[in-house]
Amino acid sequence: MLRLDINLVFTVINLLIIYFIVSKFLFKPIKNILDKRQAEIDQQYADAKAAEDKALELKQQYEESINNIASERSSALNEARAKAGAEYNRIVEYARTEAEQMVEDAKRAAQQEQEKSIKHAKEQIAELVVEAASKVVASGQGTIADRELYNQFLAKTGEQQ
Amino acid sequence: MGGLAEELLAELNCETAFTIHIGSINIPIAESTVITWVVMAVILLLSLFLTSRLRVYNISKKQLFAETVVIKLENFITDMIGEEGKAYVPYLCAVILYIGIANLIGLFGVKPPTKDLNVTAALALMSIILVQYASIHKKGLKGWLRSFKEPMAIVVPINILEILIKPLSLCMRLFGNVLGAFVIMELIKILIPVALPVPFSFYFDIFDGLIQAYVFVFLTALYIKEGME
Repeated sequence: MLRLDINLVFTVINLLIIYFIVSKFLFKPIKNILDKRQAEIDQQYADAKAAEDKALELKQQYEESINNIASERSSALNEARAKAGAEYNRIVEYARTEAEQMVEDAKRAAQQEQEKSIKHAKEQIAELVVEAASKVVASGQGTIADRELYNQFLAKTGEQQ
Repeated sequence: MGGLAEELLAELNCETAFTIHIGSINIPIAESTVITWVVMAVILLLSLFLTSRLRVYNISKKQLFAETVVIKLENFITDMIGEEGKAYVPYLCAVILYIGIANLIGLFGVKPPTKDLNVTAALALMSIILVQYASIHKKGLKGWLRSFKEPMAIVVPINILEILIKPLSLCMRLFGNVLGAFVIMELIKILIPVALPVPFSFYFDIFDGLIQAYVFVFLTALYIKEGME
C-alpha cells in the first residue's frame, strides 16, 4: 500500500510518454487542422476585403469620371456658346460694316451721278445758251423774238431737267 | 470478521505484477505501472482513432467530437493557468486525462493506479519540478531565488518548506482520496455485492475520481501561475 520504489521512476517515464502521446497525437493534429481552417477563413476574409476595396475603388473612379463628364460637358457647352457668340458678333459686325460700306458706296455713287448730271445739265445749258444766242444773233427780230426764244429755252431746259 | 480484514488487505495491497531479472538485480514492476501502460495504450489508441482522417471542411462527427474535446480541455486549463502559462497546457491536459482515466478504470474492476503511492508521488514530483521550472524560466535564476524572500525575509524558511509541502499535499490528497474511495467501495462490495454498490460507485469512482483529477491539475496550474508572478 505505502511503497516507494523504482516504480516511481517508471511512472515518471510513463507520464512523460503520455505527455508526448497527448501533445503529438492528439493536440498537434487537431491544432494543425484548426490552424489550417483559421488560415483559410482568414484568407477568405482577406479576399473579400480586397474585392470590396477594389469595388469601392472602381466606384470612386466611375463617380470621378461621371463628374468629369458633367464638367467636361458644361465646359464644352460653354466653349461652344462662347464660340457661337463670337461668331455671331463677328457676322453681325461684318454685316454692319458691309452694309455701311454699301450705303457709303451708294451715297458716293449717287453723289457722283448727281454731279455728273449737274455737269451734264450745265453743259447742255451752256450749249442751249450758245444755240439760243446764235439763233438770236442770226434772226435779229426784236423783243418778240427774244421772248419766244426765252420761252423756248425755258421749255427745253424744263424738258431736260 | 478476520476473513473480511484479510480480504480487504489483499485488495489494498499493491502487488508486484512481475519482476525483471537483469543479472543479480531484481526490478519489481508494480501493478500500477502495468495499468498505467494500459492507460497509455488507451490514450494512444483513442488519440490515433480521433485524429485519423482529419479534414478542414465537411468534418465527421468523430472529428467534431475530437475538436470539441481538445478545444474545451485547452480552454478549461488555460482559464486556470492564464495566457502566460500556455506552454504548460498540453502537459496539464495529459495529466488530467491520465488521472481521470486512472480513476475511472476502477469501474472495470481494475485497481486504480492512483491508489499506489508511487504514482501520486511521481505526479506530484513532476508537478513541483514543472512549477519551479516555470518560475525559473519566467524570472531567471536570480529572480527565482529572490522570490523566496517575498513578501519579507523572515518567511524564507517557510517558502523553502513549501517546495516540499506543495507536492506532498498534492500527492497525499490524491492518494488518500482514491485509497479512501477504494476502501469504502471494497467494504460495500464485500458486505452487499448486489445493487447497493451502484450509487456509491457513481459517487466514489466517477464523481470523486474526476474531481480529484480536476483538483490536482487545478492546484498545479495555480502553483505555476503563482510561480510566474
